[in-house]
Amino acid sequence: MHAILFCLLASTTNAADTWSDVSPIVSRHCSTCHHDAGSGPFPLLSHSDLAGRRRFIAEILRRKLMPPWLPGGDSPPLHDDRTMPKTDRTRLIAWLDAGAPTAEGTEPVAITPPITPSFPAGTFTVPLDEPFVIPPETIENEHRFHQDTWCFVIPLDNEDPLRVRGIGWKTAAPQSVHTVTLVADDRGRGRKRDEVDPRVGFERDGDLDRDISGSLGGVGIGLDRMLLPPGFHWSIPAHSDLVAEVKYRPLGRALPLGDQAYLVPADDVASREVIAVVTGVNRLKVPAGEKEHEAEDRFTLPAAFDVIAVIPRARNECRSMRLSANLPDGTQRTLLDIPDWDAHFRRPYLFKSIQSLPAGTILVSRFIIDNTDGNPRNPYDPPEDLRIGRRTGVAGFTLLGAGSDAAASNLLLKTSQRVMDRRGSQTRPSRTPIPSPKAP
Amino acid sequence: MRTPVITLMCVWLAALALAGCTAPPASLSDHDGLVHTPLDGDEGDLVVVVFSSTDCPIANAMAPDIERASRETTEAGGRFYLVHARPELTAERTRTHAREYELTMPVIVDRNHDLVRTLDATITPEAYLLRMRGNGRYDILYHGSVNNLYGSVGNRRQNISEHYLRDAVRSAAAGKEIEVSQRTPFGCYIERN
Ligand code: HEC
Repeated sequence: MHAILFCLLASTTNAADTWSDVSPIVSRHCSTCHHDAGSGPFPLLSHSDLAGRRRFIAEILRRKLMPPWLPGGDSPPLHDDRTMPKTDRTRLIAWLDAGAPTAEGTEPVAITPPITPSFPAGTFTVPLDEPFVIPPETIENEHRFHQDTWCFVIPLDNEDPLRVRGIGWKTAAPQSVHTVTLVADDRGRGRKRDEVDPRVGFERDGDLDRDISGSLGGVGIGLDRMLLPPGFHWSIPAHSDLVAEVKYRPLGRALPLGDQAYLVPADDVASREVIAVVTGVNRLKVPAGEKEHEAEDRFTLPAAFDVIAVIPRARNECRSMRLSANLPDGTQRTLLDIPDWDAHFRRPYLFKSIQSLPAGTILVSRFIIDNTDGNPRNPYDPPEDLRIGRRTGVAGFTLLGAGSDAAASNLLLKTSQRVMDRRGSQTRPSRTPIPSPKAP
Repeated sequence: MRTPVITLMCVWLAALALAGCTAPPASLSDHDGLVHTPLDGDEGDLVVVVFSSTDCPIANAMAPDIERASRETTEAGGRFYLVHARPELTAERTRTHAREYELTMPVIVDRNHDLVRTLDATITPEAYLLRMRGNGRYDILYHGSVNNLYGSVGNRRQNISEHYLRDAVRSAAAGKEIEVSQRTPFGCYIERN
């Protein structure tokens, strides 16, 4: 009886774990990003990589800040789910707390850095030829959407329309570039913006009128590509540019960008074209000090919609968000649940199985905004009145998918744009004045 | 003369009274081979010590602000030191780091954690603003975070809007009182050896 109790205790506390016991956990959950060419700020491959930061890593794990994965328990199964099982987390913490022991008389073996899988055959790359340098610190600008955001026009010079089933992005500054979203532009809108801004690229968000950045997919931390499931493709008109919105985090030093976009051609002829349906709130007015401001939007699907992915968007005053679908039969389904939002870890989420929503489904998006200093991610200290508006939404979800045929897709796209337009026209392009920079 | 007991008492006093500590004779060389005794100096001298790390993302993100504080300190006639607390760091590594982050102040590696223990530093980045009293004694005028870029670990703000260290240096140089003399620093723990 005592022996059984002892065994139970021993197996739950794992007091005897050594490096060789926990290194598979580190390899699976951490090393994918924490290696020399990855997005993590330092490698987590060798025993000393962890032992030398034992207390720091333990605290980050206790606070569940790593690995970064925003969707919560209510979300349907998603590709590339990085949720760390509780048992793995507690074992790793216990090992760190115990002083990061190694097995006696053995040299701790380092984890092999992960290998990035190559892109499918036939993929072509388009380089970002502009000599942009990520600044060491945030550049204060007049418009709050564009902080730490820069856009680039990448000409494709395509004589004919392109059909692609995937996109990718390779950055020269993986620790700084957090999210890249793409949109195709055959009307020179990106070029016009680029001409107006005398600098390399242009400082703005990447939305082009009603075309939201991300309608051609995107990448995020630990995600270098977005491949559509079989039966779907993106269509890029002839003579298009890719307009890339790059969200970076300044790292204290200048970092030159030398990035590349990837396009994976589609082969199957019978695939459906992917469109972007945007739902969310077009404006927010949240006075400084308001703790639980709720913003909600409802959008009724005019046709059946097969959703393959969703890209969330909001500023960091937003603490949590949820997208759900009220189906005509009265059932409700959660499509994405983010209980602890952090815009820096924003990325596209691909559903493991296509979410088929019948016509008449109401998409409900809800956002909770905390504009107090109790929100440790509040971008402003002290908090400031939030008064923002944008035609393509200030907090929203971009749903990528297709209707049952081209006509249905077109109806979905046009209805979503019209709804956003109508609300957008009630929104004067408001500009929150930034605090006047204090004397340096 | 300066026994370990006095050093320990100093740590204790530094934590409790923030006043009148005696420095051990810590002389440490920077990556160019110059020897510094940060905690020694003439009465009235202003000295800033910032503990940092070459690969702490939080300390690195604040590098430009640390450099600005350093310039203001030297302009005000004070001394400023960046102290790395990881013993295994080579001069080559800290020199490269200083070049990448455009840091111009003396950079010291505190291999034996003399300064870490004397000042009881626990985090990078963590700043100390000291005023020397002469004879190796000093008062701690400000201790804590460099600025408000981080609201807590993992929670970074958009911009720095409060430059705590810089403002403390300005007040001290102008002979004014420092309003808040202690602010919790957020960053990467220093692993004591
Ligand atoms: C999907 C990629 C990814 C994975 C997986 C990942 N990290 Fe990170 N990690 C990052 C990035 C990016 C940062 C920088 C965060 C920032 O800039 O706020 C980071 C930062 C950190 C930090 C520094 C804390 C900070 O706020 O800067 C620690 C410690 C850390 N990671 C530990 C871990 C551990 C332990 C694991 C495994 C359990 C892990 N990470 C898994 C990408 C990742």
